[in-house]
Amino acid sequence: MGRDSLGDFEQLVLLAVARLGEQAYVVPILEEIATRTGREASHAAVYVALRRLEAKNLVASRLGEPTSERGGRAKRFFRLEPDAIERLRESRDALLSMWDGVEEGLPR
Amino acid sequence: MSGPVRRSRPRVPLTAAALITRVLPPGFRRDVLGDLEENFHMTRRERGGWRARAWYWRQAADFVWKLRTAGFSGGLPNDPHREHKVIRTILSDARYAVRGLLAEPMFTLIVVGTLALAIGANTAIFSVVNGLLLSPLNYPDPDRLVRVHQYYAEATHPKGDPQSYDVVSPIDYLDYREREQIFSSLVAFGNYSPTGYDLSGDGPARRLTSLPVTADYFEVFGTRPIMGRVFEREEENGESRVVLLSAALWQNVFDSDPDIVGQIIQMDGGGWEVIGVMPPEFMDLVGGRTDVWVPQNMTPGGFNVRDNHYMNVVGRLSPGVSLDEAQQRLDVYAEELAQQYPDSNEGRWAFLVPLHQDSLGNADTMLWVLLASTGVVLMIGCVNVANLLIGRGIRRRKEFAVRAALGSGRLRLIAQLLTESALLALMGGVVGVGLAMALTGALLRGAPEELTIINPVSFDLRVLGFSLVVSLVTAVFFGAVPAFRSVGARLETTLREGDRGNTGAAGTQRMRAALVVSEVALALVLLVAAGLMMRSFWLLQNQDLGVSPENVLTYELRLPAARYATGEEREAFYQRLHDRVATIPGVQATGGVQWLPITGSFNMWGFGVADPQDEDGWEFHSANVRTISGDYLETVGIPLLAGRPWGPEHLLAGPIDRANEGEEEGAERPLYAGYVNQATVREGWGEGATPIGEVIIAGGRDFEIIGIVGDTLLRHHAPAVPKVYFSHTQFSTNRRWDMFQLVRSDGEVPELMSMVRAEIAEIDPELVAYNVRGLEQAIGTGIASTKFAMSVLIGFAALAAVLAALGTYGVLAYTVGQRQHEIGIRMALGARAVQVQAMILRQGLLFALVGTAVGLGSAYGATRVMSSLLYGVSATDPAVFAAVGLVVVALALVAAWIPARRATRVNPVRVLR
Repeated sequence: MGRDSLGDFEQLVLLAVARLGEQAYVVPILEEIATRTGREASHAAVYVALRRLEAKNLVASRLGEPTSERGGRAKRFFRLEPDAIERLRESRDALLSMWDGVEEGLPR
Repeated sequence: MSGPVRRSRPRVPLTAAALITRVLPPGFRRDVLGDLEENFHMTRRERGGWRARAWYWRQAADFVWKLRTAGFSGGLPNDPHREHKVIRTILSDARYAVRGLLAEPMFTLIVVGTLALAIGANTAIFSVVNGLLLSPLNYPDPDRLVRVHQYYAEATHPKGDPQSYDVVSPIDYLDYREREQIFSSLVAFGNYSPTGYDLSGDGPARRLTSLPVTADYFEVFGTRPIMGRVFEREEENGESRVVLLSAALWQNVFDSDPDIVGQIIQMDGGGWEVIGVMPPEFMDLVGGRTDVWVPQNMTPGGFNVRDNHYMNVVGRLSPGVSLDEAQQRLDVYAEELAQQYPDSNEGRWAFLVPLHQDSLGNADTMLWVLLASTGVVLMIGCVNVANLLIGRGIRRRKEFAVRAALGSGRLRLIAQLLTESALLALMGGVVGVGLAMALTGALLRGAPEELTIINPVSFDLRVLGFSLVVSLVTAVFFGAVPAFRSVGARLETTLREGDRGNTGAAGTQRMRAALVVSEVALALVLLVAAGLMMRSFWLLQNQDLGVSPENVLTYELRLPAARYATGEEREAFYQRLHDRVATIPGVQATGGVQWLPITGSFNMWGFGVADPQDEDGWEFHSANVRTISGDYLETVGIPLLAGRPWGPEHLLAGPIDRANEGEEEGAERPLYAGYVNQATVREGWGEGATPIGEVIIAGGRDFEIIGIVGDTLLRHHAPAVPKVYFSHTQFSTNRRWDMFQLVRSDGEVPELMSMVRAEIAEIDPELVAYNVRGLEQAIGTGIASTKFAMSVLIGFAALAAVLAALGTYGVLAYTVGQRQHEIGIRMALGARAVQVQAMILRQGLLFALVGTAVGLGSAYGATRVMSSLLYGVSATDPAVFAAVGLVVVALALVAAWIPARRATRVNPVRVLR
């Protein structure tokens, strides 16, 4: 089975992880998406996306230290796997090449 | 009061959190809940608590929707968290349970012990009851077997009362046997047990128990010899010397000789041909343990006359004939016989009783009462375990609340508690099985012998299963209750409660109080039952038997027919025996009797008293006839109240038996001499009469009453009946009287029996004195079943009382723990230790009083079923009820005293800190 393409939301999550770097866990990921796109995603949606991405070996996770703000629970931090960066580039390239020359012809 | 105002931190909606926990795989719960909580607090700060909660609920709904409803299971390919999830969960629960139970060893010990006792006792008693009462008798088609009793229409006891039963006339038996529309087969056997023979051969003679039976015996009981043949009807002639051996005798004495059939053995100095060996498993419920079976002599004449009743009769009903039909046909036939033979059969009926019921006698009530009492013990055990588990649940509420708040799902908590409870029940069950096996053995050893021969009792697996299931369900149910209750509770409230007041636990406390009250009530019912049995037993032991059995030794002796053929020879022997034994130093009196006192009815004869209305007429009554020798009355301590002792003049009347010779009218009849007891006087002449010199007719002879003697009880449970005493000296030729011999000594003759044996050997070295025992022991077996029932009930009642006390203690101890804060304040405010103690004792007293009230009411209804087991005490005896009530209240106070004392040791400084 060939590689299935990344979904729209999956791309947003991967990009948020990329932007956040060391501090990428669900709460800032959601904030990042909300701030940049205005899109209010649910924890469940991010959770499902991250688990899918983890299963596809595009992200990896580790547990951090617990904090009192979280009821003493640890954060799960995510980072991108090399494949993810490649896939993100591919999508961006595909989109950009599709956009090429389209902008001028569209009604404003 | 000053101090920082505690403001609790707002928390996430716990139910929503629980929902999320349920749908998430274990490895991700903590971080996801953490993310949500972090976000929740952010939202709360920005938009307020209400909106934050709403937000949280939306998140939860989305998780449930995405992970369950929308089909995303969270189980992705190669998800390491889902593999072996079930097994890992069970293992982790089991580890957790073991840790939890080890952490509270006392709790574990008490629960396991209680369950084990309840399961063990229940299984043991039910095994016995099942074997004796519920399982059919160990014969083919046992339902068709009936015991035939005869009774007089004028009997003092009503029809159906075992006290009215009489043995059967041999000639009536021969007639019944021909009624094929009633019985397919009908056996009669001699009632003169214990009878037997001296088996001689190599070495000293050996005493055998024997049972003379008619040829139908084998068909009735559905048994065949393992080798050889059975008796023929032609052999019921009193002359056939043929014998069937028991398997035990054949194995032990004849070394399982395969060629035994056809051999001649020496019994009582005569040769008998062995015609067969009975199967080893065969047990005759009516005849008892037997070494040899011989043909019953049914030749009419002699003692085989219509009005001589001496036979035990058991029948097998004809195919298709019900018990009622058989009884009706027998009634019709009895009327025919009464018309045909009015002298002997007027007013005489036969009565059929199913053999199983007959052989149990009164024991079935006893067994049912014991069974009911084990049920009560099982109930108390379960209540106690429930109470302990609820108490433990309360202790652990904080733990559950914290775990629930941390995301443990309700189902996970319940599963863990169930694992723990199941583990407890399992341990209780294992110990209980061991206990049941031991108890079944002990019960059978302690049970009256007449019960244990009815059926082989085996350990009952069904009832073991039943008890296990009941206790498992109890443990599991009450073990899970705390989980159900705690999961809904708010963490904060629970955490606060753990330290301070007991507000939220009020419902649980009420439930525990109700459990303790019911425990006290149940225990009280058992205590009342045990109390009634103890009182009966005490009365039985201390009643006036009419004899003084201390220092009286009894043994049996059989004079072989070959060497003691005539009455004169037997009388001469007894005379010599008496004279020799009486001269042993320390011996006070010695004599013989055909049936020991206080051991039931035997040799019931009619006796005629001259009718005051009619010069030639006689009024007939029935009496137990005892033929006695030597100084029997003096030996057993029956006083001569009026008249004079037998003198030489009474010995002269001579043993001339002309009763059956149809002497001419007006011919001179010999006059014999006899004693009557007070009951005979009451029945024949009325209270206070002194019929010395009056003449009675018994067994076709005329007797002059020369003395009135004291009454003896018929049995421990039965009052005196008319008894007439005849002298063996005058009566030796009437038949062979197998006599029990008795010797009263001053109690200081150490080797009395060997001295008696030496005297016997001086007269006849081949005679065997057997069945040697004290008279107390010989007649004491009559109270064996009362003693047995009493012992078991006392054991159960004590167990129940201990459990109820433990229950009371447990609840109060918990209350003290809960109210430490309050008690601390009270004491800080100046309450004295006594006041604090009184407060706790009051609560214990309340439990006890309510439990006692409920229990006394229940006992009042319940103990009636055991009235037939009681003697001299009513089933609702106020003294017993009052005493038990006091004992229960006292016990509850003792149980309350320990926590009450602990309450006074509360250190106000510490608990108020």
